[in-house]
Amino acid sequence: MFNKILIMMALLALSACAIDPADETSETEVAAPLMGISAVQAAAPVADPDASAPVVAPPPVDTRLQSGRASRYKLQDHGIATASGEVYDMFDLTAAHSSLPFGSYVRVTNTVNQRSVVVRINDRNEDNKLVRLSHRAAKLLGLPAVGGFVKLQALQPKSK
Amino acid sequence: MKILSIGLMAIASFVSCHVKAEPAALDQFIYDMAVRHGFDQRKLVGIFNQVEIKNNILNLMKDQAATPASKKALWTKYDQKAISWQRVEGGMKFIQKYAKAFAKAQTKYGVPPEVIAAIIGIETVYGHNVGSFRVLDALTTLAFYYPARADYFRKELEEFLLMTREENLNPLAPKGSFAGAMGIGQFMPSSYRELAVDFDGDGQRDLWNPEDAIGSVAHYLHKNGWIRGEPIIVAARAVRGYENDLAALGVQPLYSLPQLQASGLLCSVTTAPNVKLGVLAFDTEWGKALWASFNNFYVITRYNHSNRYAMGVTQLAEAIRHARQVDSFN
Repeated sequence: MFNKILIMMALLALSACAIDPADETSETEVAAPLMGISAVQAAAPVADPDASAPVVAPPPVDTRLQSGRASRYKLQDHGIATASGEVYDMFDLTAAHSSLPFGSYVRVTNTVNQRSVVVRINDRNEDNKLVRLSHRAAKLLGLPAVGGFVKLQALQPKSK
Repeated sequence: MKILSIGLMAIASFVSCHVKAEPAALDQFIYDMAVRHGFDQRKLVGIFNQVEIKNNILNLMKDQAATPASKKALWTKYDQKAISWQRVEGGMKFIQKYAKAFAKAQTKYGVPPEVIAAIIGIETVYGHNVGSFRVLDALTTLAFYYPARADYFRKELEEFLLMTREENLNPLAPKGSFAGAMGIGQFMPSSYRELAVDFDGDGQRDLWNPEDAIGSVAHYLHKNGWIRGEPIIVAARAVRGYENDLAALGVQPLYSLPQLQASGLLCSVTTAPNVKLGVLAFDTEWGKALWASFNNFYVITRYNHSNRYAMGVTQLAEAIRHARQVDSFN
């Protein structure tokens, strides 16, 4: 029960620069927003995974359970560019992984206290840890500053 | 003759005691309403005779003005309260339930569903907490017994009387917050009159009706300059030592990205040349965290003039969006 609450609690902030997908698809008559959209596209040079998710099914991901050490972004990392081109925001629920595709969602569980969050992969980690978690994700997991052991499983899109 | 007697009463009560000066101001107000807007003076007096001046409203207002500890707390402490699991899940359900109104609001005004939902979530927990004070009690109390903001609340009281006349409501009927904010989106009377829309097509602007409230919140943001498709904020950093100067620039979108970069902002985004930005800063455990704020963040602060409020809306909106995405996975 508590676990579930935490998972839901964890459904928190995402990339601040992503635009709503419906904005691009639902409007035909509106010319004014173009300025805004161009700003956004520039802000996210890599195809925005959020924007594409509801329209096209994301590529299949390896959903096998992985386990290993998790580290945290440093607090000072707020504002740096991630490997996906998005800007790292300490309050977003994101993570760096060595291989999972950008935009994939993974459930990360702290093996010590069984708390769990769903994060979105938008970065690559160069260290030898399994995953590097955003400040917010790490806090929701109760992960110590030095990191800790986690289990990780990628989510598969629901078949329709 | 009546005017004279009211005038005399006003003088008499003012002379007798400073505290009692306020009902005289109320008489004057009623007189002004009659002259300016053609209200029936006797009827208004009858209505105001039924008004209760509430001490707890004054206390609530004073508490709010006194900058409680929560306003000084680090953002990282504040946001966990504002963005609870219940609010995220409630937002998802609210969007599902009124999907048609949300879609229409997005098409018409360009405001994404999760932003509208987040505002409604923070204002009233999706309509669960629209306030139980009679609006007329609240506005009269604050207009005549809370000198610090008397002008503002007298104006809103005037707007409220006009609004109830236009909307065919009994002035003693509407309930709202202790500050007189009404309905699911907590509109003040002036906003109600100016910006409420009938979104379900029943011929009435009813802000206690979720569909009208959804449309009206979107309309409010639209009229305050919401730019369709533009981001709200994007994380940034500062060249060491420039944090405070940048933070002092504020969230109003007045600067181009190159201008901000020349002032020490590090932000790995590019924008169209005509996009203007501000700077949002919050204290965290390690110092100031910075964001470049787009026009749309500033627009949210037009709903409530507080960066914390707008940041709460922004993060709740992102949380709802994240949750809706996750919901499409197993």
